[in-house]
Amino acid sequence: MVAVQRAIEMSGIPTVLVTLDKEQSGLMRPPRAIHPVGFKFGHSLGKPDDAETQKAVIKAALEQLTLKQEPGHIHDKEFPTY
Amino acid sequence: MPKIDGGVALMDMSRKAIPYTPNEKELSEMTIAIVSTAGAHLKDQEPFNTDGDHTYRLISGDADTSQFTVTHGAPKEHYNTDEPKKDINVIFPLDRLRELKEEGFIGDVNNKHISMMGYAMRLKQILDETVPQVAKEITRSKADAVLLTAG
Repeated sequence: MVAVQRAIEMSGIPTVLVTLDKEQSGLMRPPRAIHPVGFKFGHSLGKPDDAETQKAVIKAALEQLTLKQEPGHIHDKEFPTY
Repeated sequence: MPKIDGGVALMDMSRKAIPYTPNEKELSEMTIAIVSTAGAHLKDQEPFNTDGDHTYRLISGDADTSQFTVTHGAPKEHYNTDEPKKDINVIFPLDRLRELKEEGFIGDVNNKHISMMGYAMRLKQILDETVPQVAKEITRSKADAVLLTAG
């Protein structure tokens, strides 16, 4: 996944990754990433039909595009509505 | 400085150097594309081969989210595809992006999006063929930025 991310980033388009596998993604050093803490695999952006949490995760991810980054650092994010 | 000795040191250096494109735009002016390796695809598209698949599916910006399914080779205990099958927005959030556009949080939803199957087992093909193709699909589109989900 991060290989795709890095290639897109290299071609001049900013990217942000939502990862549930912080350890695996961390090895690959993503340019920008968030890690929703405690989400089960299969719930990348939240549970099915939980639009509120899904949207909160997407917003948190996209907001990273407007913040100064230390590339390779994955931000842990808590989503109490999950 | 390590002595550069063939490919290994170079690979190591390239892993240390993280590509990073700064972004000066406001989110409310940006067109967002989804790139996912979680195995989402439309029901009338060819499913991914769960034994290994380096292909990708192009998803149109106006795709109907009720017409998706998920095909993925990962063991169920690692990735239970029953969940995103109930609501594709869990991995491929087209409806959520449309809502964020309505709210003015983002400028637009891109006209095309990319879906792959991450658990592909064909790493060389993916790196040599798929990844450059996917990057080209995105750069040739109107996307200002990409949201990636990995299942």
